Amino acid sequence: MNKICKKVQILLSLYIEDALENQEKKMVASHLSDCMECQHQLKLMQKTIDNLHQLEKINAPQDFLINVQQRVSAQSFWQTLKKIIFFPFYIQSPAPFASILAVLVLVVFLQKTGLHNKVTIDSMKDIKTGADLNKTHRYKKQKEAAITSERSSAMIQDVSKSIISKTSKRKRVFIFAYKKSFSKET
Amino acid sequence: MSGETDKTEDFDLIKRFIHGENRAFNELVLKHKNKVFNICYRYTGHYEDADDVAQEVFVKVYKSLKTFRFQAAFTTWLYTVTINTCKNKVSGARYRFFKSIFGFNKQYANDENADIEFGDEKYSPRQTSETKEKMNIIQTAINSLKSTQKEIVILRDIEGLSYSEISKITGLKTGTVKSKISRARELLKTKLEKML
Repeated sequence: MNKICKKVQILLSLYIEDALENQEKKMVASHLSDCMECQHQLKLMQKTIDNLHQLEKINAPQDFLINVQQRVSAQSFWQTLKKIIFFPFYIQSPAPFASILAVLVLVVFLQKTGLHNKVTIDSMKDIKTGADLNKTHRYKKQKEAAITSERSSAMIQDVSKSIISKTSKRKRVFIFAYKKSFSKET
Repeated sequence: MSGETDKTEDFDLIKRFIHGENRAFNELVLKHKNKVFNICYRYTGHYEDADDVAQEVFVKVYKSLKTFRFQAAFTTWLYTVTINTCKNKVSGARYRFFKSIFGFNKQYANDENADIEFGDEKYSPRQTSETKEKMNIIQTAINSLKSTQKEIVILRDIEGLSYSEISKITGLKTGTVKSKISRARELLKTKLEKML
């Protein structure tokens, strides 16, 4: 099979249908008059096309329309449901709507179960005990301050005794006066 | 002439549907269901799949019929929707997965002598075994074609549409449609040579 035969055989189906342009049509016709192989191929092509034309038409089942109607109504149901849920509030996505709903549900749930009150009472208790703790802490500090002042005065007395024993009478008088003034200050 | 009356009849039905008459849509379905179904059947090669796809086509039509522009014939638009839905169905991952599991798709796609059990057996009229076998071989050969070749062969040789109509439906130039159908028929001829 030469190149021309190949080219002609591709055009054969269009030649049968008379769908070729004049130039191509003439070329195919002149080649067919000489080539036996291409004539045979022309017959085969004609049979192929005839077979395709004769293929049985398959009809849709009897309940086809009912099935289509069911599908259409099922889809339109979901569409209307979507419209009812989202369109009146101009909410584009379900996320914000869902979050608002979740918060509302949580609030209602807390109020119904009384968990909220329990939480406030517990927190009050905590505050009370906290006040008590503050009070004791302040008391402790005062007590510590008193102890330290007592200790310091005792220390001064000890120091003064030792000094008295060592120093003269004039000095003793001076120390006595100092001691007196110190005790007054504390 | 009948084509023109068909066209105006379709337009009337569409207008009635747009004005809220749902019965007009039912009339459209009844009028075109067999042609749509036949295209789906020849494309998928399976009766149940064809039923599913054809229903989907009319659901799509119902949804977008209100946007129909009345510029081209309704059938041109309907066949475009049909071909696109068939393409999506067959090329869908889910479809291919199930077909690879059940295997029959591969069988009839590659083996031209395979004896295929088509789902239409219970629906079609009684055929002699010879004719049935012949039909199966032709369908197997059609299934082995590439997607575009298949749709052009179905529209031209089975549905008998003109090249200009096919060009509008597929979005290809008339010259391209002609060259593609030539190649497709050449392939079919070599596949069916034994039978012929």
